[in-house]
Amino acid sequence: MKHLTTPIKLSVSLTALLLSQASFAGGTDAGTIVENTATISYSVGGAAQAPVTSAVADFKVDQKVDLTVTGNSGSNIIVSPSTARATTGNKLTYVLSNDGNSPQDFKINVTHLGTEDFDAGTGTTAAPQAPEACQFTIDGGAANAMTATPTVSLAKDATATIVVMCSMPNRPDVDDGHESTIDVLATAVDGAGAIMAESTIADREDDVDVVLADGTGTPTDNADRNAMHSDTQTYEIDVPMLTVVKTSAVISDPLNGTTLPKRIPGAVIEYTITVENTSDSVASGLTVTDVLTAAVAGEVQFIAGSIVNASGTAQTFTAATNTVEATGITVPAGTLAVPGVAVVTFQVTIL
Amino acid sequence: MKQFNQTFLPIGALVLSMLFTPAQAAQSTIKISSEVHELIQVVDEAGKLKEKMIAADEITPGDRILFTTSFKNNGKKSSDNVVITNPIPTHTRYLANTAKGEHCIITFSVDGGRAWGDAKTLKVRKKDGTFRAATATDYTHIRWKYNRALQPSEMKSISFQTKLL
Repeated sequence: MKHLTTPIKLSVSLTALLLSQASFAGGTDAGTIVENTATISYSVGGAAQAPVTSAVADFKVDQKVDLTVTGNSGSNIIVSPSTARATTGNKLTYVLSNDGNSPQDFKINVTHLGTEDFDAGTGTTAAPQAPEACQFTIDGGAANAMTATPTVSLAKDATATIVVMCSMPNRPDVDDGHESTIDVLATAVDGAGAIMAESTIADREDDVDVVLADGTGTPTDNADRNAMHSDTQTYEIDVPMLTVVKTSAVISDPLNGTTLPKRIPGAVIEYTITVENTSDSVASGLTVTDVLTAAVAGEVQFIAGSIVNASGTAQTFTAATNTVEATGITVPAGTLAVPGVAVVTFQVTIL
Repeated sequence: MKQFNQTFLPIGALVLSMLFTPAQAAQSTIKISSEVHELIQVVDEAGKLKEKMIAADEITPGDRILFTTSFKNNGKKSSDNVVITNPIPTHTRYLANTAKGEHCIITFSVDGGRAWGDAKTLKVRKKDGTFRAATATDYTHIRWKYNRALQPSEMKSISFQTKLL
């Protein structure tokens, strides 16, 4: 007996769907109706019967709100002190992405973390770089002050790029290794600017309800599923840390020669200027300048040609101003325990 | 013709797990109905992870959905050659090894229901013309062939799970 094993298939699910966009990372669009219809074929006493179709079982996809803010650099951004806000190296970049399944508005909030060594964009001294308060742009648009909280609209799966720019303080307001951290917080908001809230009532079949699915960012966003996410990035100051010490030693005197000489008229005194670098950056292009006040006072006389500047490139003595100058000095990097050292020496005679 | 009119559906206890009488109720002796539920993971008293079936409210991408089809013989004679076909709903992906049906041979189709097979026999054509083995993501339909006769008043059900994309 022939039996019908191929039931009539109804493609109800394809023709009756209201929204049939393909789904990507954010997922199926909110409001989409997903349906299932089953078909059964059978026979009775060997005689095939007409296939039967079940009614449609369906549900509507609710709105999932999800977002992430990601700082684009895994490590600290190295900056130099006394740099202007527009300096290319002073940029911090963050990416906000809409990971939900519907278009969404997000409010952006940029703040300093209060626990750091310094706040970028501030400073107590105005020279050589006056402080320029931090600003941020969204997708290269107009600059916003840090106090502004603009709103950006993103389609499902779209991203926005937030760039923060600040000036860096002058020495000695900051030292090598000092850090300033900037936090960017994004909050999902509705058309009126209010923060998105999870639907706490039972599902409403005819309406699209809201489910919050975001994770926890650091540190201004402190919870999962609160319609917020945040991330931080850090500026780190990189500057040589130098100290200068000047000492003197008597080399010879007219009566003792070089054996236990004393500082009497006619004695030759050698001054040693030691520059120490305790940071991990090489310092180069240094100039050491020493005005010989004792020469000005008529107590000593510079011995011409006595400047030794092994770590530098040139040295001069200007008689009119009694000034020793050693230029082009490079002080190697070092540590607190073992600093990099550059030495300049010159000699005078006690009059 | 079934309309998609929102006000037609009762907003009450039967919100989203619907049990309707089939369209051709008059002549058929088998009644078939479909239900949809969400599957969530819960931790029981012993601290073990278990799956719980709840109403399909607040379904969002990534959720696990259970479709159940029940069939009952309302006639006076037994029925045989019972075959149930379920298209995998759009926007969902069939979760491998979740199709269940007692005394059923379960086969799948990747071409809209023309050819049937299982993971070992189904193939999908790649862009370069060669074939690769089909995976659960490729399935378009599932078919249950009930191996026994369905006796009068007997009711059976089959089910499968999908993930909402």
